[in-house]
Amino acid sequence: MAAAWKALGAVLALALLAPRAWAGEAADQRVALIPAGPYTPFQRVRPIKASAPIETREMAIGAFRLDVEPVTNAEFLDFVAGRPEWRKSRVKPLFADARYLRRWPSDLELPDAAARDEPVTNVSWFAAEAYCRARGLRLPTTDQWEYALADYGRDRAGVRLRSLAWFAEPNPSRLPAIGAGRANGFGLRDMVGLVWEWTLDFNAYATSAESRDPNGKDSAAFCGGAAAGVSDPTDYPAFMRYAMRASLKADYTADNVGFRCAGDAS
Amino acid sequence: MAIRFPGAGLVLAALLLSGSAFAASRKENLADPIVGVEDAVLADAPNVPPPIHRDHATKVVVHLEVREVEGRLADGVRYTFWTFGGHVPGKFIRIREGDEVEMHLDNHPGNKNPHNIDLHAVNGPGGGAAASLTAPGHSSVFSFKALNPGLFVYHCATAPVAMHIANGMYGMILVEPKEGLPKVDHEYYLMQGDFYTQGANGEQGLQPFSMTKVIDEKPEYVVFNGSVGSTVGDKALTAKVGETVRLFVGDAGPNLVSSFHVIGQIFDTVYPEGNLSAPTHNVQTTAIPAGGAAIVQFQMSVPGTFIIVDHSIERAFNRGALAQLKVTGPEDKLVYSGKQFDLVYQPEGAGIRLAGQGGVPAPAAKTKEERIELGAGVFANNCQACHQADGQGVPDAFPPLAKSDYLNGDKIRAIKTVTGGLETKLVVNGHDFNGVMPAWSLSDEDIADVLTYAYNTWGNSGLEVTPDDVKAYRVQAK
Repeated sequence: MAAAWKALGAVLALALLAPRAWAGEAADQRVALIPAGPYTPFQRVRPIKASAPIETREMAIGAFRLDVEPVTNAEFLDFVAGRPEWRKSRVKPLFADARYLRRWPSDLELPDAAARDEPVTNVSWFAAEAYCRARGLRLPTTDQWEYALADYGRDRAGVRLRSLAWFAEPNPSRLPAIGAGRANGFGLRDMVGLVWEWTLDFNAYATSAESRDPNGKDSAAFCGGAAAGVSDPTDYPAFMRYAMRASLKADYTADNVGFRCAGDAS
Repeated sequence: MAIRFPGAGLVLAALLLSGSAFAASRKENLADPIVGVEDAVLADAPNVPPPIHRDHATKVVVHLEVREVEGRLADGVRYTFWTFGGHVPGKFIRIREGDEVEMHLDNHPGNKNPHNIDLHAVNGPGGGAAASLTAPGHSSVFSFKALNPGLFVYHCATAPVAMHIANGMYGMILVEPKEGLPKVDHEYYLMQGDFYTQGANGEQGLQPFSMTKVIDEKPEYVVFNGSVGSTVGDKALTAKVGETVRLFVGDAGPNLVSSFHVIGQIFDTVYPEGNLSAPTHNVQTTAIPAGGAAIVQFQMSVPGTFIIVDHSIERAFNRGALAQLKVTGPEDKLVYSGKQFDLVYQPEGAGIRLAGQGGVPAPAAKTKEERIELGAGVFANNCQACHQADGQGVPDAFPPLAKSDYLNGDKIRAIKTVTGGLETKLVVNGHDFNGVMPAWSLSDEDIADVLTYAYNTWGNSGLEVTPDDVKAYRVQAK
């Protein structure tokens, strides 16, 4: 069944993607169409006029496509096979720190067969973005990613509980394979509980590292003890996601940061 | 300042004097030249680094490594702690006023989350937090000059702050005054914190953090030094009669204020809120705000085991806020029996990770032996604070269970006493007691276990109490 899905996904993806230097190998990645809809950002909007109050503002998200699951080691291996500049021995230090693909024994070698289905981690934003571009895609924006997670509010409590349970366990020495979790209403898996995921504009929201300052103009996402700057100060997992993104730089790689790709709807 | 307040009255003049003295001190500390560099001597609770004997300011390099580790929160209860240095509370830092601290926050690559540090000893945005948000596998470095002497809390301030603190991300830094602190015989480090688990107090297995409980400010555990029983039995603090003890006490919260008290010991000196310039004397209980600290000092005059509690007492007796100070020396039986005892405590070691362990359901005893074994844990968590590990109770206060005529005489009465509580005069083994025992909201299984444990320990009659017995005779809550 899974194989059939993958085959179908391959056909669809091949049909959707313009042929590139490297495209065929990635085509088994399944992509979901996320419909347009309303979305309340976690950050409240700070008006241009400084005296006006910060307010919660609903915005519209257009339809887009998003990988059903995070990118796996096998998929990323195919990518670096065709793109030598992203192999761990050749990657420019500017684009990835010293832990880039650190679990891989060598340039084109995974630790073992089981690693093929595990999400790729220890990839920088640059590497993730290059992978997505090679597929004719890009990383999702933070708003798109959060909208996909929010899932029109379906199973909101469950998502929060699974997030908290995930925080409560130290990183495992081996990550589980992708796809084990239940799909959400959009058909997406592993949005929480497996890895953190890069977004296109991961550092656009909370450039301030101080999480409680309600006045800093860059820190609307992390406001105060009273969390005056967010739409739901009881949403601890959202604070965690935005704090994690804020702590990253584009060349950073971490044991539990992976990604999935997005694209326009058509 | 005198120019700003011309013609000030006597009271204002006094304020001005103290105000200007304070400002001068900060100014002096700022101007104090830095001579040399040294690595900080750090210590894990309950220990404290040694006093500083330097007569000049120096640059002190501090490395705090953030580790997310699974460890013991209570008997059979596991929790994933986020720590500064591997343990809760974090490493104790000791510096001298005027010192320049070069702070390295090292977020271990195996960690899942970003972290930072806010030291209350810092004058600067976020107390350092603004300069130290650190992704897993990275380090942040910033420096500050210690301008104000005192005992200060540090903690992680990454959003959501309450979650980072509730998971154990706190510790203390002592900025010693130039002249040092008066010499004492023992210095110890205690830090209170509240914990919010999804399971109720005592529920076994790895317990995830509860977001709703921390927002409601309803902790399942309130503990000293990171776990129930961290500082009891063979890990109790120690001293001898005649010696002076100084406790550096912090309250991390994230929510609760501590009513810090040592049962049977008046504090000779308290530095409220960690403020070294205004000690007070002869204090029974001192309030420690969340995110605050106090230093208490006292000389031991009699031997015995002194129970250290948050005197918001429900926390001590039902949530774990209880530590011990064992004092040896010449006995004075008029004042205290002096009898020594050791608590039943099964250390499992901190930081041991059990791979893939999920929530474990509460175990049910299949045999009498299992019932006794499980009952020992229930007893340690609920009963022994009063009845003591050796079942001897405390003369004139808490009746003995060991060879107790009251207990052994009537199983049904025992069930009713545990489930319904007791507030009456009673005679146990010929001694009068006039106290209160609360009604315990424990499960039938737990009560069967703990009573069976009591009946099969300390030379008692060997009865077994089953959950069905408890169900049959339980006093229903009103």
